[in-house]
Amino acid sequence: MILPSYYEFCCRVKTISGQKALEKIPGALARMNSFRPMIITDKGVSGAGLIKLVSGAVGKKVKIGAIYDDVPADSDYKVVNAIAKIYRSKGCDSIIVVGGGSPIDTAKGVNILVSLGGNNLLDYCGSGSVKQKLKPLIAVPTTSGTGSEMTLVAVIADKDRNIKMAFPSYFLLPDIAVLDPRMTKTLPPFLTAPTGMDAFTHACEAYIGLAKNPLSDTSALQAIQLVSQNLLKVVKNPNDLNGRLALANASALAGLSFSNSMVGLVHNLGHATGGVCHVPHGACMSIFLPYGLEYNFHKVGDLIGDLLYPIAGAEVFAETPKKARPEKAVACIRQLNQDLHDATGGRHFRNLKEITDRSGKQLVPKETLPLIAKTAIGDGSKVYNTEEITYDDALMVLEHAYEGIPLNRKLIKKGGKGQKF
Amino acid sequence: MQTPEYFEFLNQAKIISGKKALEHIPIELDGFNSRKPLVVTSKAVSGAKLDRVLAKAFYDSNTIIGGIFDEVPEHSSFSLAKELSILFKGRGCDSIIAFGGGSVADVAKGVNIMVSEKNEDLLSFIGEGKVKTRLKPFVYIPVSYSDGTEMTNVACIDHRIIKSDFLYPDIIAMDPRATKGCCRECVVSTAMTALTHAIEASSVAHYNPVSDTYAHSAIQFIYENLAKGVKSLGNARAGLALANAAVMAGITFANAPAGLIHTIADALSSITGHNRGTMMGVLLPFGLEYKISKKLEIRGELLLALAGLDEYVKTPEKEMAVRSLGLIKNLIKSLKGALPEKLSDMKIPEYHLNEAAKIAFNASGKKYKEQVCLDVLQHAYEGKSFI
Amino acid sequence: MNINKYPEIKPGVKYIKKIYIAVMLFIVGRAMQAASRIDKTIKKEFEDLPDGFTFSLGILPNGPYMIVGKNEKGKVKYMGWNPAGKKLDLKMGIKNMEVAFLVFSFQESTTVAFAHDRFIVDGDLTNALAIVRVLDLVEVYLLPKIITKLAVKRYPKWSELSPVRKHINRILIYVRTFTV
Ligand SMILES: [Fe+2]
Repeated sequence: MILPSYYEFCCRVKTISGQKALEKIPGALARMNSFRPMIITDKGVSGAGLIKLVSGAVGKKVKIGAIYDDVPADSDYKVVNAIAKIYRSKGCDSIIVVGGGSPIDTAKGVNILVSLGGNNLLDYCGSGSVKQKLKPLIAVPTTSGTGSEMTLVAVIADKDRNIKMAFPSYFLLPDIAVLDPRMTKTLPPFLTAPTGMDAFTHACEAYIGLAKNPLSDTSALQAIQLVSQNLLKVVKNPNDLNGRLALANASALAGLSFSNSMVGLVHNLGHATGGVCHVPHGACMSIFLPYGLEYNFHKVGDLIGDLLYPIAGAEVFAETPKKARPEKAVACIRQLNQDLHDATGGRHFRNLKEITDRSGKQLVPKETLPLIAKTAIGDGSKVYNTEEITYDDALMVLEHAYEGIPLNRKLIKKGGKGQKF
Repeated sequence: MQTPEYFEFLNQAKIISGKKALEHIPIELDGFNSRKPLVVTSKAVSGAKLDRVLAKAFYDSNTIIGGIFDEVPEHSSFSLAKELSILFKGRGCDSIIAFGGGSVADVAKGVNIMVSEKNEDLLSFIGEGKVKTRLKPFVYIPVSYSDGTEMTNVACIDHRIIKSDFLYPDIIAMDPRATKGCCRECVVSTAMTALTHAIEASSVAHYNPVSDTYAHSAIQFIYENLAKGVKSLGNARAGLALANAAVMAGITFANAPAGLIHTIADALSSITGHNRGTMMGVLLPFGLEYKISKKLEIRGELLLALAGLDEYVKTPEKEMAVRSLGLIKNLIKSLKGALPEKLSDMKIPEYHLNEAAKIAFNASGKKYKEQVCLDVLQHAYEGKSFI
Repeated sequence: MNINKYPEIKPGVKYIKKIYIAVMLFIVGRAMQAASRIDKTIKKEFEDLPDGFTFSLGILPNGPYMIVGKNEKGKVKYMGWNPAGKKLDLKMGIKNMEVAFLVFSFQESTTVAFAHDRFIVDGDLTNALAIVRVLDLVEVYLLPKIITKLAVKRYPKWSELSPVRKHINRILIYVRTFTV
């Protein structure tokens, strides 16, 4: 096992996972001396009847102070300010956030304001402004992918200035993540597939990234195994509650892995494609993941070879000679994408070319690739990729991903072999 | 891979490990708005001049060390905790650093309760869940000796137990300068404690995927580094890896019920006064053998953690447990006598076994039958195999 | 308990390391200014940053620092070692002096130090990345290949950076760093 010459690892989130995990919330709140939580969520979640489920499980024992269910798809600081106002006027003393990335980010922002005082989140911009324990925050994820329940950063947009602000502080970590399969049961297959692949990607990138450490390694391998064994099964049979729970666990494990080890090329290109063409994050992840591995073969081939075991199981791993394992791992991921594509009636995308919105319009026209490549160079995740990524490199990978063909590895500019950690 | 029906897991600590980790403590404390820690440690640390290394690590920062108390004895006491709380308050400290193993961390936790709860009566916190408020920032710096509880939510003072999730350290800083092996006995005892805890925490009955990630790292680090660490005590890499293992195993141990081997070892060491880690090391192979003989499942993944992927995938599932046991026995053999082979080698009178079995039975809440405990103890006493 | 046996310890100062790092920061800062006029890639990186952009790179919590910024005319300038009173768009801090010494004595590369969480970045990460790229290139110019190869992920190939351009630029940057 690799012991890096230096590493940091922190995940102060208490995980409560299982059937009926929601029912544990009142007790957990009481232990933190809280009795009047505010629920924050978005319209999609409340529309699916999930808030009813949560209040049903929680409301018997504690009084819910307020419910805010109008968080926009991109968390916005004005919304944060508004929610904080409601929180105060209703005399709440803790937050339960139900949803995916945006509600969780928003709730973290709200927690800053209601704990430290003030009416404007912008006053707390910059690292190092949050240095004390905040109000109890319980996260109930509903997507099994983003892993936001395990990350310490809140990303909140300022739409007037068209920027995204990051608030990094360990105090923003939720106190508790509650993983209950009922919360992800209603997610339709065509959304389950890409969110599952997002978690899969977090784990893979955490395992081969520059900032990997022993704990991010073992959690990544667990997460990959859970996704490989359950994703296709759940997509084919959405009511498989055990499978749903396994995916929720995988997402949390992948979240704790990548929030301590960071991500690389896949997220680098994914963030850029999402930003330029408004493609959902999970779709980008599924498409770029094979390339993110292929691009780093010469630096971390052995590590990628390791991934074959959790992806394909002991038998395939044992049959495949060591040298062929990295390629086999990538081939298995491509096959998984294909299987998901078939199982969702073509709504799970295999390449950039075939991504369309609901009206059937192509979202990533070939002309946008240069702009995506340029945006990617400014994205932070490239720092943690073992091989350098320049504009030309990014464009080269994008062109392959557009067609969905395996990466021509002769085109990779190799900055040396092997990587020390 | 099975899906757990239900589990909980918490690791409160931020772990920092490696080159110059001590130098990072000031900025970590600053993240808690803390500028003046009290350092609690023992002569073992100051004797190796590590207290000076720590003081130097704080140079060029804005962090003042409120004092370095280096006289914590092997057993912690309420009276010492009280004296230290007076020192803490007198100096206007706002955080605590425990530098060392066992009693050092216990006493530091006690001090932290007194100064944070503003209550002089530490006895009133004995038991579980009596601590109600968040405590002052607490840093734990591991050395090569650990009794496996420093990083947990438990403090043992004057043989009384205080348990609360607030007792977990906030920061664990592992630095190769501090974790170099001090003596063979300490290194082996620490590693055997960790190995036993990690193996028992990742049992079949309490499958917990998050806990597993810590347990598997711990097992792997011990298997790969223990022989090296015992052979050359100055080996900084092995020392750091073993400290990592101890911390990770401790965290899983805090999240799982105490296992059979831990419980028996704890009972016997409380009667005989022998080191608990050594005891666990002696009992571990016999305890595992017992489980195998009774067809109590041992996780196949144990072999994965011990032997690595290539060997794991080649081993038929049925043989995994026996193979794992074999590897652990080989590991103990490679320590060349740093660990006694059987209990009788430790000059323990045989009549203590019955007593230990009784205590273990009660301590486990009647989970581990007295006869079972005695059976394991007797085999371990004579060095007799179960299989 | 005789509490005088356990006195308070105020943090001292490691003067030699501090001076060494201050000198290195000075050289890197000056080299950035010089290189921005000579190397096309570095010039381009700075052009993409907003006008008046100013950043600091320093050692937490008490320095030393170096400040580099673009003036109104878009010229890159080394602006000294004192951040007091300057409006900074980006603050990059190394977590402590010992780690800074590891970095500036080339025992731990900038990239690895970043991956090891040894930096704290306050400000826009995109801009911080541009600065890291510039720092990488400046290192390529200032240091022999054998050291720089350890420090950057991919050492520029001769095809990307012609040997003539590299050596002439290198000499020019050296001259300007230490003279103008
Ligand atoms: Fe993602």
